[in-house]
Amino acid sequence: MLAGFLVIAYSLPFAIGIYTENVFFDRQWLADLATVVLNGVMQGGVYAMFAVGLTMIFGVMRIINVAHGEMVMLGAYLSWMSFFWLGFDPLLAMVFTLPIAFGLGWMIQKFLLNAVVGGPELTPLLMTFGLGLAMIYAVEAVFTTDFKSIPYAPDSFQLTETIVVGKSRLISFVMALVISVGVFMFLKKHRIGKAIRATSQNADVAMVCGINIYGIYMVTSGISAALAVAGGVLVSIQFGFNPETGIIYTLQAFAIIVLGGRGHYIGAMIGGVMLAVMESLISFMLPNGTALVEIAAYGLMIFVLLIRPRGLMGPKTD
Amino acid sequence: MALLELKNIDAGYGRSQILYGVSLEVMEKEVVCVIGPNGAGKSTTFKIIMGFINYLGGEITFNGANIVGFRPDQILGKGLGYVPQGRIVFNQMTVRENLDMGAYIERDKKKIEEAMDYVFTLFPRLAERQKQLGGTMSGGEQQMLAMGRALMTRPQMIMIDEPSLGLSPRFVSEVFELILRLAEEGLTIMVVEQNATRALEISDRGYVLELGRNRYEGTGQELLNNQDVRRMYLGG
Repeated sequence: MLAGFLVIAYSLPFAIGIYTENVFFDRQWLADLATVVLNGVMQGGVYAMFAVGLTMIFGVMRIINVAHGEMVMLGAYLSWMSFFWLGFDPLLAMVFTLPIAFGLGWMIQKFLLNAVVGGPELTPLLMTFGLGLAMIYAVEAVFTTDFKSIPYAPDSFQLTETIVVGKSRLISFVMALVISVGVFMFLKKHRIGKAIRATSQNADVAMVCGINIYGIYMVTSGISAALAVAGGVLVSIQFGFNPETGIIYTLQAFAIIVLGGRGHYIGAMIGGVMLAVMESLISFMLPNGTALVEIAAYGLMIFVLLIRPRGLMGPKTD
Repeated sequence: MALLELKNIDAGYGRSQILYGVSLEVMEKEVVCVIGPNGAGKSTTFKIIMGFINYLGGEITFNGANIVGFRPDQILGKGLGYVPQGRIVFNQMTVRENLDMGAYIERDKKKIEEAMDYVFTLFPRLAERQKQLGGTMSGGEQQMLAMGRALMTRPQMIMIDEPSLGLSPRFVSEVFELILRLAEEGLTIMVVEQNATRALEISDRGYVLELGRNRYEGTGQELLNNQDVRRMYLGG
């Protein structure tokens, strides 16, 4: 049923495109389509990377962190500051922006969320909501609501004769891939990474195994914040941003983890690519498509919730 | 001196009190069982010892030192292992990863390997299935994995909550044989069991709890011969 629905969902832009005569099937159009899909996949890789941070927090603590996108936004500003104030390459600056983000996530967990985790589910949700708003207004107080952008690798990269991709987008995708693989390897092999997985599977048993789950919560929040800030750095070299940009990224990350299955890391990667490809197909083929992108993306999320609440890869028992 | 001692423990979940002045002690190298009807507070007693739930009053000492107010991972670090009820394993992890997690507080790789070998000699079946996911094993195998995991730190004492619950008769016998073998090796064991007759047969001493209070105590044989205990808890 889900497969059928997805086939229909991804055919729909083509159907509307043909109907409105935006689809030509000539050589140039096919090359453009390939470019668009490729761009979607690359963009999806970046979205997926920071969505993994959101799904980690949910998986380990059952906390819905609605401030995740604000952390992405903060990452964009950290990137901007390191570029304009310190003169660092934003990507090289990740050497210190990511540890800063890890520390911030760690402190938020230690001093705020650890106090309310395990209690009524609404409390941590409201706390992250307040935290997100506080971050928006704090950044606004310093930088105003003006849009900022970073001129980074503006030229394009000729992939084949007809397919061209933005250099900054390609760089972002490669970085997102490297970081995601790094996080997966950490979760798979490292002692603490394994403890994170153990805690998300059963916190009580993790405790009797000698795992200090509150310590694991702090590491998880730290990694999650670092992934969000990395996401922020990677979008900051491609798009403009202002203090309110974060909300969009929160919603995007939610759509991705719903698609992929809550708490599932590979699912988040697939969900990220699916969402971004859908967005690019719509903006490419529909008249006035860019305005419809968000509606389609969240429509996809709502229908997946309806048809298969656990998402593509989520565990059956939930 | 008792290895583990509870004195007048009051405890509960939130505002509802479950235990009223429960006292018990376990000597070194002893096998002690706790029996009683449902709702007697048997599992709760284990959870309060491990630091999982609200503590209202009383004293708990292990090796003569207070263990009240510590987290479960800290209590494990003092040499007290725990196998929770319901043969809970990490479903999405392999047998080997499950055992690795059991040794989380041990940093010495050589000691972890030794403990792993020890667990594999106790449970040859786990050795054969090192790469199988915990969630795909049978109930009896999961109980073995949960017990093996609790032995990975080579604790001084372990507490096992309802090891035979829901297992087939063949596995029930295996579980009791294993407890006897561990006891012979010098491990101190406290076990909660609904299979009270079998539990008393292998125990040095036993406690009967009822509605969160101490009711009877004695050697395994004394409790098996006690008319009241027989009538009320051993089915005649």
